[in-house]
Amino acid sequence: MAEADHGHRCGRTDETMTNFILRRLGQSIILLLIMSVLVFAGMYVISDPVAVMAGEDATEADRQALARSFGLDQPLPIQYLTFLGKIVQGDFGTSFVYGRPVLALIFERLPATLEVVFLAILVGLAVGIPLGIYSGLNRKKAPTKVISFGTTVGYSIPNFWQALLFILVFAVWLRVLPASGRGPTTEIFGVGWSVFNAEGLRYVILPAANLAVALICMQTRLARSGTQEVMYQDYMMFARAKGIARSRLIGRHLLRNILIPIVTITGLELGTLIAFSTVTETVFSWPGIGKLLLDSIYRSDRPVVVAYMILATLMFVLINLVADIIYAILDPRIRYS
Amino acid sequence: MSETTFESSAGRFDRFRAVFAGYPAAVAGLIGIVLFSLIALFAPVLAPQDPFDQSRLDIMDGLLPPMSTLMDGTLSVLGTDAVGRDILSAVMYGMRTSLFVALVSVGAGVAVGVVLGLVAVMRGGWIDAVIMRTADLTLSFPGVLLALLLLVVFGSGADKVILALAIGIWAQNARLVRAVGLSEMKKDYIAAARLAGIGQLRIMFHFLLPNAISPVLVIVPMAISGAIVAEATLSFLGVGVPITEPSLGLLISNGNDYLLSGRWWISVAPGLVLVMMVLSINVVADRLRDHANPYLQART
Amino acid sequence: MPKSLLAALLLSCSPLIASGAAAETLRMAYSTAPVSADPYPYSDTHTGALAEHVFEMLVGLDDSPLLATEWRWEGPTSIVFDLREGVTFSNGAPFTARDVVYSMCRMMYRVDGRANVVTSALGPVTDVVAVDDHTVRFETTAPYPIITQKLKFLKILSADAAGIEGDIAYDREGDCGIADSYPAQADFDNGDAAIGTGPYVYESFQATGDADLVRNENYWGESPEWGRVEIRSVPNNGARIAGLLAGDYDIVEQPSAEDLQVIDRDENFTYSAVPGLQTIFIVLDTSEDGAGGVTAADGSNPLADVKVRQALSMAIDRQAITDRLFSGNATAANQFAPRYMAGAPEMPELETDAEAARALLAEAGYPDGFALEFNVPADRYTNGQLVGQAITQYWTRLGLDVTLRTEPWSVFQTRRTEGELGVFMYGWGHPQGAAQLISGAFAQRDDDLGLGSANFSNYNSPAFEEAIQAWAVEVDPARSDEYLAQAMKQAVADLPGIPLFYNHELWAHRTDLELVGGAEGRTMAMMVSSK
Repeated sequence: MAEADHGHRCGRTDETMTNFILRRLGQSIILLLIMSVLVFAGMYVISDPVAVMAGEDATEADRQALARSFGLDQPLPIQYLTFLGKIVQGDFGTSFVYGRPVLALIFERLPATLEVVFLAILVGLAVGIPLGIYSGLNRKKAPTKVISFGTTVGYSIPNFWQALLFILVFAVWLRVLPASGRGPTTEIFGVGWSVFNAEGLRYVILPAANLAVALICMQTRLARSGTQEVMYQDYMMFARAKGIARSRLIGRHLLRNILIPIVTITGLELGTLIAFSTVTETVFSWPGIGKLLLDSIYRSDRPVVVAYMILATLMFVLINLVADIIYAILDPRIRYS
Repeated sequence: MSETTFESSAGRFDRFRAVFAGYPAAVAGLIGIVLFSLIALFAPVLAPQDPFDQSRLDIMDGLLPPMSTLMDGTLSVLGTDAVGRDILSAVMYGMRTSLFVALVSVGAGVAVGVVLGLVAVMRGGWIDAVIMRTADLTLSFPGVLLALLLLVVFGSGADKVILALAIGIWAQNARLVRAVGLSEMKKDYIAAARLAGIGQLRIMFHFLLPNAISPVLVIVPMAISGAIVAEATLSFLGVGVPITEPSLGLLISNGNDYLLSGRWWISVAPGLVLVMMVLSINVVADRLRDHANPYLQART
Repeated sequence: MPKSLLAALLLSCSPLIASGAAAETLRMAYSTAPVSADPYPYSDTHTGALAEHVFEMLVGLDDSPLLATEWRWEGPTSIVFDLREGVTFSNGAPFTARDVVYSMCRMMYRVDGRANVVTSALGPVTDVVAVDDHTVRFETTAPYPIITQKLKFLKILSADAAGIEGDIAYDREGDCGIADSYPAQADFDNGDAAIGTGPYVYESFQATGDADLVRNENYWGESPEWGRVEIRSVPNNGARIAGLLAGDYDIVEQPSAEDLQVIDRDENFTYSAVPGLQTIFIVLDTSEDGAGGVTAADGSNPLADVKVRQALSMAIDRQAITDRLFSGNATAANQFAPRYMAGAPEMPELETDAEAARALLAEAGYPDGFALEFNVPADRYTNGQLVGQAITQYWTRLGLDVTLRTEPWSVFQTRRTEGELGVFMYGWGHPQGAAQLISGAFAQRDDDLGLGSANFSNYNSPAFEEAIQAWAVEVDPARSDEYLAQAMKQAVADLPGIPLFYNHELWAHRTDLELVGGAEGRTMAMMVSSK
C-alpha cells in the first residue's frame, strides 16, 4: 500500500519546499472542513441527544429546555458555525453526556490508548525484527517456512476473535491475567500511566498482545524483505567477500539499512493503530479513546464524536504531511521529476 | 478481450500452474477457496435448515449440543444457538453472506476506483485534483472506523455494509491506477496512439487499462480477505448485517456470550471457518504478490 | 498503599488466599459507568446507585422512611415530613430542614443553563418550607399524591458545605437567591462538594465512572461493614464475569443466564436473584391513520383493531421466553407492572394459543397477515436481541411478514421520540409504584398531572382515561389502588401494548458473601455482607 500512496506526489515540477508544504497544508484544512461537515451532519441525522437524555417522564417543556441548553434549538448551519467558531478558539465543546469539556475527556483517556499502542509497537519491533532478519538470512531453512506461514496466519485471524481467545485462555482457563479494565496507575508528569507498576502491567498485557500480533507479522515481513534486499546489494557482497565477520555485518550494515523503512512504515501505521484500538479497547473494556468514541456514538454524544473525528483526521493529515516532507527531502526527484 | 492481453486458455492454465507449482500452502489455499465458494454457492441445497426463515426456527430448540435432533426431526450436527438456529446451516449461510458482501464491495470498489483513476490520468487538471483529494479524504481514515461511522449514519444491513466497505476500497485502487497510468502516459505508444487520432475512451480502455490493471489484480485477493474481516468486525460490533440473517462475525458475537459456559459450538465453528476462509485467501494472495513482485515480498 | 499492592499481587496468584486478605474492601463491577459524582443532572440507574452510597433521600427506594421518619397530608396540596434527628453530614454539620430546602433549590436549578431531567418530577412543587429544624412542608400546584414516589429523586446535600448561611426561600426556578453559591459538577467529581449523610464518602471519582468509597465514620445508622468500596465499570458482559472468576471483583451485576451456568459449576462463586421492577413490553401504535412500518394490503392499520392486538399477544409464549432465554430468571407478565409489586391488582394469566390467534387474525379481516417492522434496541435490555428474535418467530408463524430491526439505543430512542416506530419493545421500571408504566405510556398527555409523557401507542379509551385521571389526584392509598386496578384491567383488555415479562435483578458474587438485593436492581455495598 505504501508504494502506491506516493504516486500522486510525483506529478508536479519546479516547486519550492515552502510552496509544497503550504499547498499541502491548505489542502489539509479543506479536508478537515469537509470531514467536520460530514460528521456533524451525519450525527445530526441519526440521533437526537435530547431524545436519549430526557427521562421517561420528561415533559415537552423539559425537552425544549434541554435542547436550548445544548444549543440544539438552532438550525443546523448555525449550530455548525457556532461549533466552528469555538473550535478556532480551541474550544471543542462540552460533552452532552459527561457535561465536561470534550478536549479534557479525550486527553484524559489518551494515555490509556497510547500506552497500549506503544507497548504493542515495542513488542512488535522486539519480536518481529529478529524473526525477520533470521528468515531473510536463512531463506531455505525450516524455521523460516514456519515463521512465514505464521505471519500469514497472524494476519488472517480477525482482531476481535483473537481477543476473545486471549480472554478465554489467559483469563478464564489459566486465570493468570485479568480479563478486562485498566489497572492502578502511577502518576508521571501529572499523567496516570498503568504500565509503570506491576499490578497495572498485568492489565495491559492482553490488550497490548492483541494489538502486537498483527504488528509482529508486519515487522517480520518488513525485516525479511529488507534483509533480502540489502544482503544482495553490491557493498554487502563485497564486504562478505572481504571476510568481515557475520555478526558485524548484521549489526552494523544490515540493521542500519533495514531500520529506515521499518521505522517509516511503523510511523505511518501509528495513526491506524490508535484508531484501530477501538476494537481491542471494546473487547477488553479498556478506557481509551477508541472506547470513548464507540460509547459516544451509541449515546449520540455529538460533540465527542465530532471532536474525535476532527482530531483523528488532523493526526492522519499531519503524519502524512511529515512523511511527505521527509520523502521530499530524501528524494529530490519527487520535487523535480 | 483486448488484443494486448489475448491468450489461449491453455496458455493461461500453464501460467497459472507455474505460479502455484511447488507451493503446497498456496495450493491448499486455492483448494480452500474453491471449497468454501462451492459451499457458499450451494448453501440452500446443502444446509439442513433455512436459518433465515424465522417461521422454521423455535427457541424451544435453543442451545442444543452437537448431534441433537430438532423438533422437526432435523439432525443438528453442530448444535444450535440460543434462538434454535442450526449452527451448521447458519455457518453455511454466513459464509454466503461474508463472501457475497466481500466480493460485491471489492468488485464495486475496484471498478469505481479503476475508472476514476483512469479518468484522473486522462483529464488531469481540476478533475484529477478533485478525485485525488476525495481519495485522500477517504484514505485519511482507517477503513473500519469509516465504515462504522457510515453504518451508524445509514443504518445497518448487508447493502449498507457493502456501500461502506466499497467507499474504503475505491480510493486505494484509484491511487494505484493513477500512479501506474501516469507512467504509462509518458510512453511512446500512447503518444503514437494520440497522434493517430485514437479517441480518449479507446486509449483509456484499450491501452491504459490492460497495463494498469495487473497491479490492481494483485491486491484484489488481499482486499477480499480484508473485506471479509471488516464485515465480520462490523457485525461483531453490532452495526453490520441484521440479527435474523447472521454473518460469520455476528455468529461469533452471539456465541461469545456462551463461550464461558462451555457452549463452545456456537462461536468456535463460525470462528474457525472465518479464519480458514481468510487464511486460504491470504496464502493465495501472498503467492500471487510474491510472484508478481519477487523483490518486494510482504510490503503491504 | 503497599499493603493493598501486596494484597493485589497475592490475588493474582490465587483468588482464595485473597478473599481473606481483602476482607475489608469490597470490589464491585457495574455494567454501566456512573456519569458523575454530582447526583442531580443525571437520572440513570448507575449514577443513582453510586450517589446513594453517599447521599440519602427523605424516602427510601423501598418506600421506607429514610431521612424523614414520618409524613402526612395536611390538605390536598400540602404534605409535611418529620425529619430524622441526630443525623450529621460526613463533614460533621447537622442535618436540618434547611438542607432539604437547599437540595430542592439545587435540584430545580439549571446549572450552566443545562436542563436537569429530574426536575420535571418535582415540577408541581410550588413551595418548600422549613417549618422548624426537623419539619419540612411541600406545597404543590394541584393534588400530587405521587410526590412521595418522586421524592426518591431528591438526594439531600449539605447547605453548610456550599457555604450558605441563614434561611433559604424556595422558588420554582431553583435560584432561591443563592444560585451563585452552587457548587459545580467538577466540585462534586473532585469530592469537595460531595458531602452527604450516607454510609460512605468519596475517596475518588474518575471520569471513566470508576469510584473509590470509604466508610463514613459518622454515619447515623448502622456502621457499614466495608471499610472501602471500589466500583469499576465493565460494560462488556463476558469481561465482567471473567473478572469475577479471575478474582478482580467480589460482586458483579447483571450476569447473563449463561454466566449463571458457569458460576453454578464453580464452588467459589454463586449468584443472587430478586424479582425486579422492570416490565418489558411491546408498544403498538393503535392510530386509525397508520402506524410506522406497518403495512396491510388494504392500506389500513391492522393494529387499530383490538382483535389483531389480541392475536399478536396470544401468539407469544411468555413461559417459553422466560424458561429458555432467561433460564427462569424472569417472570411471565400478566399486566403492565410487576405482578408482585405493591398496588398491582390480581390479574389472570395471559393466554398463549397459536390456533386461536390465527383465527382472531382472520376474523379481523387479515387471514393472510400483514407486514410489520419490529423495533428492538440492541444494547439496552437483558437478552433484548434474543427476545426480539423469539417474538419474530412467533409472529412469522402467525402468518405476518416481520422485519426485526435492532439498532443502538441512541438511534432507536430518536426514532421512537419522533413517532416513527409503529411496533417496538421497551422496558419501564422505576421504583415509583405500579401505575408508573400505564400512566406514562398509555394515558393521554397531561403535563400538569404528569400523565402520558410517552404515549406512543396513541391509545385513547374513555374508561381508561377516567380511571387514570382519578388515580392521579387521589391521595387515599386504598382508593388510589382501586383506580389503578380499573385502569390496569382496561389496558390489559384493550392491549395498546403487549406485556411480556418482568426482569429479575441478578448479581454474581463470591460464595463467602451474603447478598440481599433490592427490586430496583441497584448494586450497593450496603446490601453485601460477609458470611
